Amino acid sequence: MVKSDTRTLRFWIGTVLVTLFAVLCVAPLIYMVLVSFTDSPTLYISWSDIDFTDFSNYVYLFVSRDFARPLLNSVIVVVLGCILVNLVSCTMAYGFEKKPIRGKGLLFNIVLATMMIPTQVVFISLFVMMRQLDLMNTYIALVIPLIGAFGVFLMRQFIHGVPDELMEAAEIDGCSELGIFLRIVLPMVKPAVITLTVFTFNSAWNSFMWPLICTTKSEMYPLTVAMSTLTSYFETNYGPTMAAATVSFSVPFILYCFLQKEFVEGIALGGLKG
Amino acid sequence: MNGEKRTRTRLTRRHRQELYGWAYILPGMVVLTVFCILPIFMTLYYSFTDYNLAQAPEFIAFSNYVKVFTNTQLRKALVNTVIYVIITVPLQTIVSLLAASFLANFLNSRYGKFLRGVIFIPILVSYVAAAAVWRIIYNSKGGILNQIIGVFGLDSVNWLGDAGTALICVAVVAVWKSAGYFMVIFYAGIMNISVEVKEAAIIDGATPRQRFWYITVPILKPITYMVVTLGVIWSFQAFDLVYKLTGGGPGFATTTIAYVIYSYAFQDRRIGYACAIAILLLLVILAIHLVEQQFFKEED
Amino acid sequence: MKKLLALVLAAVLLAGVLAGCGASGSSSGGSTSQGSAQPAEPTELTLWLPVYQFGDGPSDEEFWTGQLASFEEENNCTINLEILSWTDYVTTIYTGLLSGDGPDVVYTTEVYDLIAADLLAPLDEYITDEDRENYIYLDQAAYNEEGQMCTLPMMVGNACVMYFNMDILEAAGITELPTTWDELFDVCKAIKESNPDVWPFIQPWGASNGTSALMTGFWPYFFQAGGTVLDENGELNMDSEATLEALNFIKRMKDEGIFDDSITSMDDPPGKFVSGEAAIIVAGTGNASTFTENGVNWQSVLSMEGPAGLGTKIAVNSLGIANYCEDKELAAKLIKYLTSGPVMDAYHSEVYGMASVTKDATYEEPEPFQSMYAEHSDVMYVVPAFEGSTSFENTMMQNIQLMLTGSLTPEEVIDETMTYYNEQIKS
Repeated sequence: MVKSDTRTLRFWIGTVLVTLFAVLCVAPLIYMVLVSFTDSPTLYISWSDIDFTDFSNYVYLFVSRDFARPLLNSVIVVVLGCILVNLVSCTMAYGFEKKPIRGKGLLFNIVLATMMIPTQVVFISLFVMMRQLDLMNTYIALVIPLIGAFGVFLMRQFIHGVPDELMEAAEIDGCSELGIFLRIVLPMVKPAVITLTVFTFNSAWNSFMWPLICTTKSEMYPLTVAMSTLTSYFETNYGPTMAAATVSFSVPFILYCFLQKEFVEGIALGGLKG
Repeated sequence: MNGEKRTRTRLTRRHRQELYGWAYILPGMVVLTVFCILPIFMTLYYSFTDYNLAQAPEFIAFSNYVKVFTNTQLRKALVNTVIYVIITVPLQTIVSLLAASFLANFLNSRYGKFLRGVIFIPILVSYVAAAAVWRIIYNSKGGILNQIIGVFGLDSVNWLGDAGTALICVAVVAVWKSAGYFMVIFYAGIMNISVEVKEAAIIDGATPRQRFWYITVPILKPITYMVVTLGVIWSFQAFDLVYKLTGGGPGFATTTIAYVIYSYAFQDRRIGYACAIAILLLLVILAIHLVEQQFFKEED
Repeated sequence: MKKLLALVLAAVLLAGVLAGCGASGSSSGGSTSQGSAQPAEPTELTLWLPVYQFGDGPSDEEFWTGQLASFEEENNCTINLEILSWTDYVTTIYTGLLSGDGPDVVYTTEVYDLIAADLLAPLDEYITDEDRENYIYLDQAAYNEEGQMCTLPMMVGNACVMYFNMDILEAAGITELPTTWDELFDVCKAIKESNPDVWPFIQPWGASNGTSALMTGFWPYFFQAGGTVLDENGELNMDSEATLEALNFIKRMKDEGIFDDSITSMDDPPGKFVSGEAAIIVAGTGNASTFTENGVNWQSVLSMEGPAGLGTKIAVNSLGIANYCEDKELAAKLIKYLTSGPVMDAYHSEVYGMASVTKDATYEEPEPFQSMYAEHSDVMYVVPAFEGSTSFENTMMQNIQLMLTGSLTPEEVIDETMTYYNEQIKS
């Protein structure tokens, strides 16, 4: 009896602690949304300052600061990024896992080794390269660093699970090489494609350092950089900044609400396999 | 006759398959080689030059590296980065492990799943947005954090403006943002421990504590290894938060190596010098990785 | 058949990458190729200017688009106007100019690196004798090693003057404005006593970069202490008595409790002045209209009297033409149009008030600034361009932050900054 009492007590304490932790996780974001509906030069904000019908901060963003453009840029980068990353990762992983390529062990290890390289090491020279290739301020420059070894590695783990017999059977049935890849392999690794898409989406949407380096024109800024230029030396009002943060947060959040399972599983699978 | 023909087709099939293989990996290999591997060697080359983007790089051998070792700012940045890693990595690992094991073992209800979903949310925020929000929260005059501690009669703290607290404040935001990520990974790992193993252990009379140490911990070890590795790599490259939250200040209190590299390379345009620091960062990360690998191997 | 398919797949992949390159390439490179290939098409010029509208008037875009319309029509050209934020402004224009795909005409603040890297075109051949007569500040333009003029001064002024919130001062029983450093301290202490909730005086020691912090936080006091940035040989002369005096002034503010601990996270003094949270600040003369619009009852004086008398910092920012610009003649015409009397007059009255740069301009700064510029132009100093000025100012700011948190003495600030500058920044 005593034992079960302590267990219940422990259970309740644990529940309260975890609940508290969850509250701490979202409280700053709720605060962000609240402040985005205020118009106050100081931070001494009371409930009466918050007016949910007053979208003036958002209007300011989209009318005066032309935030539609960075929003569009971010969407383009994310879509392009997800397509390219999946394309490169799936084909490479399939080639590495299922095809008899001489020296592929060494090649694959070289690819894997790039995962260890800090981004700064790559970014400086990549910036120099983009300048020389005249690719500064282009979507291609924004998308390229998203392609990396992680996707190949992840995909290879999954393609490993596709039985060779299945592919051989398909070949005997007269299925073409491309047909095997598209109709047998890809459908079987769909969860991995979703994982990789979620991953790429999140990193592309939130990436900051690279866009900061490779865009010099405001018409090419993604949301993160546009938001960063908003908090310049002369801004005194916190509302527009928080409205921008809310806009940038709302897109992944809405997707998360609809695709919660995919998001959580995507991240978890990526973690476990990686 | 028949046998000979079969060998020939087998051979050509192998060749054909290899050719397909190349067709699959070549485009990707080209992209990765040009944009991922080549820049590493370019950086290595630039680290031996004086280069400001405008004039052609001028070879100066080890001068940049010599300068690195007398750079007091960099020394401070290295210390800050190490402290930052020491704060963030254990904190986010422990918090996420505790939350995950509690949710998985005791609160596997609808409410538990809801909490899990909520804790995950900060991952969706960009560091830039997170920094903007937390900058307001930490604000020394009127920031909500100071208003809250004011309710308890405590004096306002100058969170981001004080050299003693600034780095910790940055670390807290980093933990806030990534704890949910690691929790989800741990959670999945714990849920993967098969029910049979657990039931067998219970039948064998293992206490919850024994079960935790002898079943959960060994199974979670590779996951912990991954969480720690990822955590170290991320923390060593902390840039976005520092850039938007403190700008490296006050003084040099939150200047991290990644921030130094950025400001030298892109604000001061000392490309060669920044490359030398980046190469040293690479060596440090590799060294840590080797040590860590050894540590996790030995315990097996 | 299968081989073919595999090849097609590879080709599709490559095509995808190339298509992406091509698509983005054409969008960015379009402006220049069009101009040269088809002479019938109007020439395009890209113009980069920074934000100066901080009040309620027409936005920078609105103002310039309106002004440029007639120029475009007259010269059959299109001006691609881009208004840049001040965040990382120097870096942005430097990388833009380096990329070869940036501005044709650009507003410059720090020219040393731009000139050293040979990014700006010499302007001498486009400046007529008549122009030389008309432009007042040509000696403040940037010159390259051969002595060729590479920029044309556009914005002169924005002197860093001292503003007082008279409501707060009166509430503290102060009727007369201070005139010396010592009097300023007394006034600050009186304000602090009467109203502990406001900042008596603040400086931006939490600014995002050294240039913003030093602009109002250090240079004015440095000049009031009689400092000169470069010695007669053009060498950096910051290891001086004046630097020490200015640092001691800043430190005394902290020691006497006029700055509280959060001074090292203070990034927006004008904002605090507007919201009535600060009684005294130093800011550019151009901020005055924003203060008025927000209902601040302010008065202003040029500066306090330091050890060497009055003194403050003044800005000279100029327009330059990129070396890669294909139609420099037209670009030169554009910069002369932008700096011409009527355009600048409109700009100064509608967007941001500054001194007139040509003799044919009629704009006068509102009082009290017009008389300040008239009477005290001899004590308004420009911080000259020198090698690594951005890094120097960042280092200086960070060391001053350390002084404010009690880790360094003023002497050590100078020592650390100069050692770092000589060993790490100077080539």
